[in-house]
Amino acid sequence: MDGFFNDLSLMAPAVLFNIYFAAVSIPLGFVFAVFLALGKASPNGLINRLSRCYIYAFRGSPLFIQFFMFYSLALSLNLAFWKPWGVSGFVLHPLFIGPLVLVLNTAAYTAEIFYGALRAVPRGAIEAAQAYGMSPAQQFRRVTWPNLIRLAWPAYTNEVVFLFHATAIVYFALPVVGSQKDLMITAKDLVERDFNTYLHFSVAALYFLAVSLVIFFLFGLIYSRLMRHLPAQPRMRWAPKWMR
Amino acid sequence: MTDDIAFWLGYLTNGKHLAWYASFQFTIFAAVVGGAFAVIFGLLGATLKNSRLPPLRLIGTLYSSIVRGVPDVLFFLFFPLAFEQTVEWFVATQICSPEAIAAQTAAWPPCREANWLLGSFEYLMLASVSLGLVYGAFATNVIHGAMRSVPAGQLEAARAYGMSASQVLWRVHIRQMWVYALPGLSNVWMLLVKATSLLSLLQIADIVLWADRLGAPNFCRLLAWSTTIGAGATTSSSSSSTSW
Repeated sequence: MDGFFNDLSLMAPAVLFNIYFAAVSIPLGFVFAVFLALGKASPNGLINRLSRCYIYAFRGSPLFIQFFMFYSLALSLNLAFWKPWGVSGFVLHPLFIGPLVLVLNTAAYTAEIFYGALRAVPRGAIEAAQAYGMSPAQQFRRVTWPNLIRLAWPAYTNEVVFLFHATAIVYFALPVVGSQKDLMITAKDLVERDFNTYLHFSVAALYFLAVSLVIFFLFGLIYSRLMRHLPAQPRMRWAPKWMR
Repeated sequence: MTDDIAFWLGYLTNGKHLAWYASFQFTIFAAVVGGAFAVIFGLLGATLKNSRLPPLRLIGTLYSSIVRGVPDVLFFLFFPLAFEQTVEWFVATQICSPEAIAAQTAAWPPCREANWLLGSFEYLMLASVSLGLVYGAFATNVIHGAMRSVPAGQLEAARAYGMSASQVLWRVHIRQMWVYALPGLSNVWMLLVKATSLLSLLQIADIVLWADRLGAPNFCRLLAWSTTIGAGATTSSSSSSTSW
């Protein structure tokens, strides 16, 4: 039992790294995903094809490989760019590259969710907006977007939890700098020290479960806020589908 | 021109590259065997979840929700280590003499005789089972949902023909279920194929590990860089000879 509490306190700073990765990538990925989803639905052939290719590439390849690719790309550009500019310590830092790759990755998954929701926005609502003489920008802001975000929110919540789970592999692909270790690296180091696999990995799993539940709770609050106009508030499913 | 072709032919067929091409077998093996295990564990889990006995139902529900609630990489690393340690612990209770336990200085195993040395094939097999366990939890959910969407009339008809419960399950329920399960299962298999990129974390020399090694100049810089980041300086070591 002592070991358990000891692990809890050892991993408390470690979970902050995972939370940092998720907290930085979620808002940026959200904004990027909105543009990607609009791009995928765009009638412009070039924009359409570019967004489709981007989404396909990032959803079709493992995140682990994406980390490796972007890290070696950044390394190979080091002598040409980062070093002369004096930013290599910043650009090559895992706390920068980690969120960068996570943003690019989660934007592709989120864009697919938003694109699906965009196509599910009721046709009649948009026609009504056109009939009122709204400009395209007004249509999007007042009709399409509120419908889209309500339709997409439950799936987006799952995606956010998945992104939080994906932060577990950041430090397997990127170098650990000093004592900046996330949950998985802390657990792995502890296991390598005393071989107590069951204890250390279970505590790390508890942390992941706890933060996932907090995410579900917060996003559930936002969902009920989004749905406040409906008399019978549909609760978000407490048992998530965990699938992307 | 012909010189170029000869150079590239020679370069792409040197020993390291041939070893890299050969390592595809491990990834493909893990994907195929892991996919098969995922379906087996998925069927088992869904049957447990559908069971009439509450304890069995609880086991099925716990399996699918806990394994899906933690990152795949955590369980993927945990299972092979935990399985190995459990076997070693069991062997130790049978063969370790008190003297041997007293003579053991390392934290694990309890005595030297109980040590279980795993070869690369055993590790690959454990990794495949591990992948199967992780994605079997996803498959449990998919198959459970598919079993619930089989029309009740078909099961009633089977019962009306006088089939026993196990006959209804095997001859009608499971066979009618595939139509609904296959789209979801193909999703699970796609996730699993992407997750095979994590094999290198268990020190299996798969395509990812070789790709990483073949970028050896990068790797040198990575090592040099990660040791010097504290000083804020980035060493640009040229591609020196490495152990591989």
